[in-house]
Amino acid sequence: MNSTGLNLCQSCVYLHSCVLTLQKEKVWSCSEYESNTTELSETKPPKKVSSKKRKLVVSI
Amino acid sequence: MEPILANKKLKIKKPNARNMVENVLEQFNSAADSIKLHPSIRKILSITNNEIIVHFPVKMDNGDVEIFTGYRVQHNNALGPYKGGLRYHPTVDIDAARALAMWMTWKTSLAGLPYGGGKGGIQLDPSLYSQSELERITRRFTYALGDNIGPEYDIPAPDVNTSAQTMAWIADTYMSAKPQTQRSMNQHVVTGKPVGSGGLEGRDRATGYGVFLTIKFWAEKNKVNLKGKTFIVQGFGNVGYWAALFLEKEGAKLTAVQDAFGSIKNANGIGVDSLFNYMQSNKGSIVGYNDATEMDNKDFFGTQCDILIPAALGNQITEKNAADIKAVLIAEGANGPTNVEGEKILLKKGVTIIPDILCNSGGVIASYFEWLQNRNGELWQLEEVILKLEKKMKESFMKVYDYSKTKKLDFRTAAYCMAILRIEKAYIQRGIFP
Repeated sequence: MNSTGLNLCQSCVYLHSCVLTLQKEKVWSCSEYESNTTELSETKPPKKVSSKKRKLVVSI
Repeated sequence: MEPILANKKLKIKKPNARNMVENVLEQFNSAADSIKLHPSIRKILSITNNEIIVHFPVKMDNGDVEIFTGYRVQHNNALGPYKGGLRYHPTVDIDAARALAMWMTWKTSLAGLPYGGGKGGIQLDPSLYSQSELERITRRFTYALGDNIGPEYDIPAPDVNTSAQTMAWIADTYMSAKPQTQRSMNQHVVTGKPVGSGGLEGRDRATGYGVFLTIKFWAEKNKVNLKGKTFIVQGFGNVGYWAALFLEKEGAKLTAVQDAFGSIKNANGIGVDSLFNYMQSNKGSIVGYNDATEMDNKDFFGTQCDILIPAALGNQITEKNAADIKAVLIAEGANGPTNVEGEKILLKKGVTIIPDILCNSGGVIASYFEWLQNRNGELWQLEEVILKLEKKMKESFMKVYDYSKTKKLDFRTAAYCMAILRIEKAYIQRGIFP
C-alpha cells in the first residue's frame, strides 16, 4: 500500500533525529514510531500535564 | 457550524488525507480491472458502509471538561464483522479512517478470515493527557460508540498510540454496559487485550513470525535453503526483531540493520538477541553495537544480501534506490515500503516482492485467534497459536503464489486480486438484499 495521508512523524519523539526518512510528512505507519505515551501501562504514574497546553472547552 | 474540538489548537499538518483514499481506490480499481470485477460489486466496494463520528465530553484531572471527536469507519462486512484498529493521533480524521478501513477489508479477505474492514480513532495528542485522563477518554469513547461496535459486528484492535491497556478499558466498558448475564459473552468486542484479560499468547511475535513464514514458504517453493543466506532488516521493532530472530534460527545470517538512530553492518553476521539486548540497554538505539560497524544510512538498501526485510515504514524503496538493491527477495514487514516506481524497477530486475498485505498479515490472523479463543471460552497455549498461525499463513501464501503463477502476475497484483475475488464470490452467492 503506497498511501500517504496520515502524518505520524510530527508527534514522534524521534522527529528530528530519525534517519529513516526525509519525507516526514508522508508517514502513516511506522514500527519505530514512539510518542511519550506509546506504552500505556497500568503501572505508569499519571503525568503532570499543564492545562495551558490544552484548549479549555467547558469549565464547571 | 464548526464543531467544538478539544485539539483545535494543535499545529499538526494533515497533508494528502484525501490522496490516501484515492490511492487505496486506485489499487483497488487496478486489481478490479485485472479480474474484471462485476460492476455492481465494484460500486459497493468503492464506498464505505458506515461512517460514525462522535463528539463526547470527558472530565479532566483538573475538573475541566473537554470535548473529543472520535471516528469509526466501517468499509465492508460481506465476509464478517468489521475489523481494524483504533488510533489516537492528531491527524486522525474521516478520510484517513476511510482509507485504512478499505485497506483492512482487502487484508482480512486475503488472510481468509471471516472479517470485513474497519478503522477509527480519536483526534488527540495523547502526550498532552495523563494516564487517568486517557482511561476516561477511552471509556467515554466506547460508550459513545455504543452498539456501533460489538463482538459480532465491529471488533477494534490496537493501532498507533493505543495498546493492550486501551483494549482492556474498551472491553471492560463495553461489557459493563451490558446486562450482568451477558457481560462475559462480550469479551471479544476487541482484540489485542492483555494476556491476563483474554489476550492471546504469542500476539507479540505474530506479525514478525508471519513475515518469517512467508520467506520460508517462498524458499520452499523455490527450493532455496535458508541456511547461510544473508538478510538485512530495516526497523528493529516488534516486526523486524521477531522476523530476524526466526530467520536466524533457520540458519540465515543477519548482516545489516537500520533503525531510527542509524545503520550497522557485519558481513560475518550480527547476533539478533545480542543486538536486541544491546538496544534495550542503549535507549532503544542499535548504534554503537560493538560487534558491527556503522555504515552510511544511504548505503543501507544497497548492502549485499539475499533477503531484504523493510519492517519500519512506507516509501522506503523508490526509483532512487531500487536499482541498488542486491536482494533477490523483499519481504514487506512494514506497510507500503515499496512505491510504484520502485516496484517496477525491482520486478524488471527479477526481484520477488512478498507484498505487505500478505507478508505482515500475521498480526490480524492472531487477532482472529484471540477472538475465537474468547468466543469459545478457551485459553490457547503458545505452541497451539504458532501452529495455527503457520497453517493460516500457508493457506494465504499458497493462494497468492498459485494465482500469480497461473495468471502470470506479480505477487502484489495477485494478492489484491485474490482478496477482491473472495468478496465478489460472497456477494454473488448471497445476492443483494432485497
